[in-house]
Amino acid sequence: MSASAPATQQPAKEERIGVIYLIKKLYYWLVERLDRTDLLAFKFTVPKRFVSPLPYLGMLTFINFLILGVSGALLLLFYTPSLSGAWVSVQLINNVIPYGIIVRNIHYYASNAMVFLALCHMYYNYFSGRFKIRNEIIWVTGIIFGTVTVLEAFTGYDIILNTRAVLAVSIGVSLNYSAPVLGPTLVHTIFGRGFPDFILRFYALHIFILPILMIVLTLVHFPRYLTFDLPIVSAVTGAILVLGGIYPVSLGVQYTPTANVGYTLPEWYLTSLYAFLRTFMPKFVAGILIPTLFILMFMVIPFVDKSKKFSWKDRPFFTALGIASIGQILLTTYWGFYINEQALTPTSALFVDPVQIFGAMVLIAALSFVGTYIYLRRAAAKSGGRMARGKRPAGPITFLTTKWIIAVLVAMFGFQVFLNALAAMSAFHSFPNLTMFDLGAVLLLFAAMFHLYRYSRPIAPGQPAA
Amino acid sequence: MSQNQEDEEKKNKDSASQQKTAESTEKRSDDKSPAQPAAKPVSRPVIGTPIARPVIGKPISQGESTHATTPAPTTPQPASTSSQTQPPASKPVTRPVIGKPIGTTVQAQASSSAPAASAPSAPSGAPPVSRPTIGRPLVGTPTAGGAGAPKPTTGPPVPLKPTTPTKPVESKTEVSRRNFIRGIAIVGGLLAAAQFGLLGPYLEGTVESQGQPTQVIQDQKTNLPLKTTDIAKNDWKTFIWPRTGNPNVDNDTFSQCVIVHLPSNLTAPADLSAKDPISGDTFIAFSRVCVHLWCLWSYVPNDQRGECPCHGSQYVPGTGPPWNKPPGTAVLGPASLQTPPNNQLPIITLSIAADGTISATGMKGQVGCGQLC
Repeated sequence: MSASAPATQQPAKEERIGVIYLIKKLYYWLVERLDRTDLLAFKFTVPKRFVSPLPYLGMLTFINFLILGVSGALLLLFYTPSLSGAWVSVQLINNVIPYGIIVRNIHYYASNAMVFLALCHMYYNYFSGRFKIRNEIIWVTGIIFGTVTVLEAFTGYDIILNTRAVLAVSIGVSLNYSAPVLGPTLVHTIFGRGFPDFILRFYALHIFILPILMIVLTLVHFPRYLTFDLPIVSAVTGAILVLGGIYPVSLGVQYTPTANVGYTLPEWYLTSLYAFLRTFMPKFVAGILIPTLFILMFMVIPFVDKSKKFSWKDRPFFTALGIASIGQILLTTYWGFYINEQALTPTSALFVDPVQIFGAMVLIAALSFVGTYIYLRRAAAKSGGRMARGKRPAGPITFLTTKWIIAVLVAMFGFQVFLNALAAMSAFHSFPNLTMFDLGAVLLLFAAMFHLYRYSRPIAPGQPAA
Repeated sequence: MSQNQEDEEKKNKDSASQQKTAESTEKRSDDKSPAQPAAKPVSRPVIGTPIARPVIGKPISQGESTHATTPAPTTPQPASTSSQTQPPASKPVTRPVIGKPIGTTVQAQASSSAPAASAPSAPSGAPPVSRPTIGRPLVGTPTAGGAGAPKPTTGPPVPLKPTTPTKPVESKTEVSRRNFIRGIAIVGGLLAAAQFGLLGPYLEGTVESQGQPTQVIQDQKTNLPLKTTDIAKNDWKTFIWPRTGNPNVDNDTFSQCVIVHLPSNLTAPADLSAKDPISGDTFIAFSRVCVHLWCLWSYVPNDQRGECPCHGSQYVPGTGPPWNKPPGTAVLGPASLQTPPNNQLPIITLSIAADGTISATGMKGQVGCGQLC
């Protein structure tokens, strides 16, 4: 060792022995070489204290993307993309293969979390005006990214091939088919001819083409400054597992040609589209034109909102527009879920009166727009023009003494150990739901412990007291 | 709060606002950049002969072009001095010209006549491989500077001059070497890219057409031939047509069909339906794919209608009160609002043997489109 050591003179002499030294050496060796790659071009911030997770919701979305990649790769090992074999293979994963149900639930809830977080991420950046500081390209690629994310989730729940998936594939493909002039050619080029093709193409889109597109978009969309906060990531992952434990995703009814299909709803991020389709408007208008216009509206925002003000409080018009769009999404999403199953015929059960829904949309838009606008104008008048506040003085919460913090941490650790044991036991006795719930709770507990730890750091032993 | 804590707080805040400050510094440096456009070298050497980039709209005289042998001035220019307003003397700009220069101004031709006499033109009809005529005065082309698309032959026609009598064809279409190469590269690239058009047919695949075979239809649960006696009056069964025996193909929704034993109050034309020789009742078969958004509909005996669970389209299996529409027509829901060829289900024509065995013989219409598609 001493023969090779003289090359690096930096560590002190007593540090030049042992495993720690070797690890350190390896670490520096790696970092110096990774410095030549793109990886270290990103500037990672690991906040030492709690900062609001809102500015780095994008990072959380990406973490979900990684979770989806890993769990999806695991599902890939057993999935069969064929018309007669797909549902059976998902059933095998769900019911027979050990831990298959956990992997499947993680994949399902992470996909939902990804769509939801992407939406929140977009709205945060919309209201905080982050798209302004020459982030237009990041914003536009973000909108494309969000659309691709929804398509990815859509193709995902289609290749399970239960009855709902078959209807969803039919609707997706026939919506494409309804496009004027190019429709049939597009369908044949993108989806092929007939269901055996559709399933394989949806599969190819879901596991390769769209993810590759997303990775390419990531390269453009990622800013150079990223924040990675372990407890928040841990909490999000824990929430996914806990949800999987409480509401495990169902398999649905296997699609067979003889199956008598009942009322079927799409996933929550598509029910707003479903509401429009149920107004009996021409299918191209309801299914493609309206959502495209909605997406385009967000895409052009940075080129319309060109003021030098960032805070939502200083931009009453665009804040009002954003609130109104949230109102629209909530209204149409809820309306898409609502089916009057007591109605005598499916037509009356499913019909959404266009006068009602568009009237309600206009009303909600007007109310939220005018309400927000008036509120912000008044508030601005009161505060003399500019409302955005400066920095708030922040301090750590030190309501517990050191002794108590240690006690709570130890108790939490004990609870973690207990939950882990419980999870192992329930896995052994094949209660996958309980296993999932416990594992999620462990992750949430870890998040809480980390959080408590970083708040109590200044008054922990060895640190100068407050 | 201790000093230590405060420092840490500050650090956190700093890291949060790092992005903004970094960007503002970038912006500051960007603001300066328009002030020094001339810092960019405006000429670049080519083997043997230094070639400078052209300046729009300014003809350069012959004598000045010798300056091009030295690098272009790289001293910062005032921001107001754009390339258009620059005096020609400060920026000698030349480049090799094949044959004749593309002229846009009268002065250009006047100044070019003298050197053109000494520089013989390129061989006619040959691709421009001729040597650059150094010292040729450059006349601005609209695409000069490399920003625009190459327009090799768009220069205004230059009248024939006595100095270039040996060029009968090329005299009107003269191209600078750079633009020619650029054009060739782009056309070549497009031709190369066009090969990927072959992917279109690849992606579309082929239909493994089963045609429209005459097949005895089978009960999907028992796989036995379906007989008229198996279907009660005003009841229905699903069947696969055309049937291949491969579940991966047969499970396609487009192969799913429905046969309905019509109730007494509904009728259907003889060419679309079949009469049961045993009971004398009418049987009629449709594609099960809704013509709205391709979901699978089911027959509801109580309503005497086919009903789609996705968006609520409803179809009548035969003609009769209260709708009095031809069989397969959508009477309620979104499919009924579609324009005529798209509002009727495709019909599978049937023939029934003396023992009641039902055969599918063909299809009227196109699945997912309509009866008259």
